Amino acid sequence: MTTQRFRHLAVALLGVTVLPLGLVACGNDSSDGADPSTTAGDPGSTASAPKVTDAWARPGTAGGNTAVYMTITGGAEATKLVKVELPSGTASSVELHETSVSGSGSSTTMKMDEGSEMGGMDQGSGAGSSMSGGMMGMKAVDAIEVPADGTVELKPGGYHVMVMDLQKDLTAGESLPVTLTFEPGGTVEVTATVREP
Amino acid sequence: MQDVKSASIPRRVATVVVVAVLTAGWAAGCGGGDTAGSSTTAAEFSGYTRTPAPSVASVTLPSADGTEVGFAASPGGVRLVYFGYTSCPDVCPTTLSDVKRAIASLPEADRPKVSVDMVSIDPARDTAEKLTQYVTTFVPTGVAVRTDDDARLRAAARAFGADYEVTPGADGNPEVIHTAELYAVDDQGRVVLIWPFGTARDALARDLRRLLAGERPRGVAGPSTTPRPTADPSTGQPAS
Repeated sequence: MTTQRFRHLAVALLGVTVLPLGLVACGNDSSDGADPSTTAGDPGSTASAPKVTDAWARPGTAGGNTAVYMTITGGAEATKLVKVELPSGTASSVELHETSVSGSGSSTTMKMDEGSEMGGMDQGSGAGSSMSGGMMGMKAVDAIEVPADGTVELKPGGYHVMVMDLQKDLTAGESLPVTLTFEPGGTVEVTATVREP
Repeated sequence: MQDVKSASIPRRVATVVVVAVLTAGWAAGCGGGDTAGSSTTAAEFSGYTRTPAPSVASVTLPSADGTEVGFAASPGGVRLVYFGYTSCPDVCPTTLSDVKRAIASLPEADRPKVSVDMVSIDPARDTAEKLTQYVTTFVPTGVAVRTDDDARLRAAARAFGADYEVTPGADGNPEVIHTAELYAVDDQGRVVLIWPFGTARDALARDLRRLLAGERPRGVAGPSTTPRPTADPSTGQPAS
């Protein structure tokens, strides 16, 4: 899955909640504007409540680390993702992390292929340069900003939920309940599918 | 309205649909009509190369079972070498997962021609057992390579053009940074192609197929089936 595809898929998922229709969006629409119809006429949500789609977790083995990814779409008000929790007994700790390039390890000119899966984010900073060929590292972040009506993707090579010291195996096909805390916005519960990217 | 509700579609179906969407997206060229890369001629590889291609023919490191591993591919084959670490939740598994898919996309007869080595840059935490389990999760025939001798590890990494740094982190966990590139080594022990993190999975697979077919990036001489002089006058190095 490439950035483009991921983004298109995310757009498809956001814009059209019926998955198969995503094909249409994917195939012929390169506009990044999410369909506003998904957010319109939804009196149940508070203005600041973000929406979370396409949550998935990478498979992992007990004792190892893994990551959870998702797409977050802001509501009318900017918010921040400040905390992520998994069911007790899943992992020793869970943190928000960002993968980014630190320094330039090589003077060789990098040539990136189209549609790269990893790296660059539409929002935020840092990860956009993930493909410059320097050394890559991760750092913990206190929060992930979600702009009003904007979209933030947590995806390989950028922001991710780092899951440390798994207490049990996470196997493809499993479901993983994830509780996200936004300030403002409160908590949002989602189910991440454990799958390979 | 929570879009998460889409998760109420039976999980397996959802997965299948997602896969179908992606596949269809690929087929339809989803992702843009301006993908210059996809229209490049056969002359271009997605990975890049250094000139001259670095030789790692004389580099060896211990595998997890203690035997010394050289990095030249089997005759006609390609050896994929990755310097990573098992605590890495994001970058390393993304690349190894792409490697897994790339190999799976090859014709069955070609798959055994590709070998995979994962060299730990964090041997203090990566036990032989842990590293073996990690790499074989992705590639069952993958070889775990580790040494506690940092000078050896660093020299080996340098030969590939890899770099890494492990420093104590504020939270007690080491902080690791690394070049995160994937190296393709041919049967002469030359690093013929390098894929930066960010290379699309299908591009990696395409490059791999071409390497196996004997194609080489510009500036890199052909595979070993091409007769080579016994010594290269430009480098004075004997062809081994």
